[in-house]
Amino acid sequence: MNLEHTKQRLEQALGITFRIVTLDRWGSQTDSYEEQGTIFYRIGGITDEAVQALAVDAHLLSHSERQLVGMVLELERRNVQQQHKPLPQAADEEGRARELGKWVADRLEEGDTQSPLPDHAALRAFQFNSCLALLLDTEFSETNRFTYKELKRLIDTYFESDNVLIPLSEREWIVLASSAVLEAANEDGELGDSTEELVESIALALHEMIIEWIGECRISSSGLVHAPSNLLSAVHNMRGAIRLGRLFHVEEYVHLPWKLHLERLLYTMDDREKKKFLEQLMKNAEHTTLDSEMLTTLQTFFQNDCNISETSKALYIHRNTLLYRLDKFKQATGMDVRNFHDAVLVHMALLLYKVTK
Amino acid sequence: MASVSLRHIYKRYPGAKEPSVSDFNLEIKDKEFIVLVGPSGCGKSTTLRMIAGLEEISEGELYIGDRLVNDVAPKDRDIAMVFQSYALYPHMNVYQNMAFGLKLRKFKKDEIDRRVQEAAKILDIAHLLDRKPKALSGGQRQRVALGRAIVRDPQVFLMDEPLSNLDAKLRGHMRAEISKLAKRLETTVIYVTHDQVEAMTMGDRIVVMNNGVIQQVDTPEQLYNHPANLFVAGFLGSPTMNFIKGRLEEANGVVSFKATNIDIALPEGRAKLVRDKGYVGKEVILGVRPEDIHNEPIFLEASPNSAVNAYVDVVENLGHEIILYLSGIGDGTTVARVDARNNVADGSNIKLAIDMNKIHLFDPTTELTITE
Repeated sequence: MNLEHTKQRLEQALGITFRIVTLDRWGSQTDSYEEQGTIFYRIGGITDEAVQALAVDAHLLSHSERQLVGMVLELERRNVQQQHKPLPQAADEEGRARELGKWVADRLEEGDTQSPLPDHAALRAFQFNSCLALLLDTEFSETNRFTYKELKRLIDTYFESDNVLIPLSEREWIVLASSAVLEAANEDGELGDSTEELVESIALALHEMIIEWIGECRISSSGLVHAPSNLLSAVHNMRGAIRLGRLFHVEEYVHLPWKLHLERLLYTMDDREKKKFLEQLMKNAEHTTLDSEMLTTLQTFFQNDCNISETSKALYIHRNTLLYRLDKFKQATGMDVRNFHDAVLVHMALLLYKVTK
Repeated sequence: MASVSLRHIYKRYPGAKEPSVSDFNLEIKDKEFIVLVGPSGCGKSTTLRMIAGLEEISEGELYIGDRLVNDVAPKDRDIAMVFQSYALYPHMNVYQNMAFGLKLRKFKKDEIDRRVQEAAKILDIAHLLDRKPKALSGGQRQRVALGRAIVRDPQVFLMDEPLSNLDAKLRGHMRAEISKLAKRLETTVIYVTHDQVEAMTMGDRIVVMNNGVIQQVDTPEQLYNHPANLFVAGFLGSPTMNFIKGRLEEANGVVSFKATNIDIALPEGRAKLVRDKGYVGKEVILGVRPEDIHNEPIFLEASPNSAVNAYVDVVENLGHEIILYLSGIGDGTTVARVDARNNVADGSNIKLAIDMNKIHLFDPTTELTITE
């Protein structure tokens, strides 16, 4: 059990302070008891040695709150027992991978992104080192049916090594590859790329390979992770990135958490706020202002760092045509995207526009 | 190599009001280089992705050769794809990148080697086989991406904007290389682009698309000279065709096109056509390409019935030709492309003549041509 985390959640829920204490002995046959105005809740198992407990002033809790806290801690204790129970070890590699996948999916379903993985044969190769973690979200269909073995062979051939493939469901697959692939990708270049750039190039190429052999899929990566201790949070991040990518960048297929900061921020806005922001920003615009041509123009302009020359090249239009379009947008909305402040607002509005429309 | 047949293909996305691709019918011949062209969002990439097996076909039938492939997985369609991103496998060298697909298909080592060496020779990248993608230029990477497809010896090549990540000079060079390669390999190529220059220079035939619907399918020459509608006429050609709204009127047996500051006579052949189709006395749109507006004295002298006066707003001297932006012909700006030896100044009034044998007339309601 993550004691500090549980304590914080209880404090937030009840608005009172709990203390973590260590007792020499447990003074009861039950999981909680009251002594000198303090209630003690047992955290770990009862042994001859010290016992960890959560303590709270008795007068701060009503009877029903005492019962509720007791129930919460009992559930947490069961959870911990479940986590530490060794997984049944299937005889074959696929069986073991599926068991591990189920464990990961179940933990994430319960909101647990912190627990370390149980000892598992499939992960032995990465027990002490960092590995490259990727998540594939395949568009599984009748025509694009594939087996664990087929995907494993593809992945192993692609990374030129034996990798760990963990199915979370028929659609979602975790891939853990040796970090050596990043070193191999960085050879020969005059300047070393950042890890993020290397991971992106590997993910993009993996996407191209997968669609040719299996069909369309979305890919995320959380970069290098220490799988035994951080896999749950890595998968949580990658799932989040794919969810954001699907919403904000529907025509792209590789979604990396470190490229989606603004999208993550906007995603947390409630729908009413999103609509209000858009309405205020575009209040003067006519319905036709954001037609597909204007949307493409503005998106390309932002992709090219607001550079007129690069944008006109990318759009195959004369720079005067681009300037004319930007002027037209300014006339309709009052926003001049050549100005940094307006560009930021319009960029955000475009992202929200895609989601709300 | 194989033919490809798309029969009444539709693509509908859940929740969308209109289909992204509607009733797409096309017979692509064996060894043909066909280009799908149109503006962003016209459905050209969606069509290619359906052929590749990356999008399900909502309705209709797709044949590669004689085989119905609607329900066949991408890897079993015997196609090779080259994408805009041409993402090479960054941790493998050029040889390994090209050999990858064959290795997965369990080809023997010496066969893999033979094919990779042969493709590398064709693409002139034999000296780069040991290099990693990071150490290659944009053009070299593009060649490796092509090589990856070539070694597979597929029935059909699918290319989705493969040149759009290259700079203008390299794009022009690779355009010619790909055309040459397709001829040498005698293969069927389906090529998607939004660049009309690529479409005009590479395709045996071009499919012009808009809003998910085929607008016209024909050879580059036919599309340019005989566009079926306003969209095709305006999409192909740079600077684009001039469109002037006006009216057809007949007096003393001569049919004339009249608009603001224009009163020009139609040649007898076209006059008969519009008379027969009942357009005399009606509103029409006249289309004329910039190169069909002349200011050479000899042409002006020979074409007194199609002379117009205009004011020169802007002169763009491109060295070998001059682009004139004119006002006074109809209501908007008219663009003319004239010989660079002509001495035309900004802010001057000039006389020009329209080559009436090259004009196009369109119905303003249906937007279809009425001069074919």
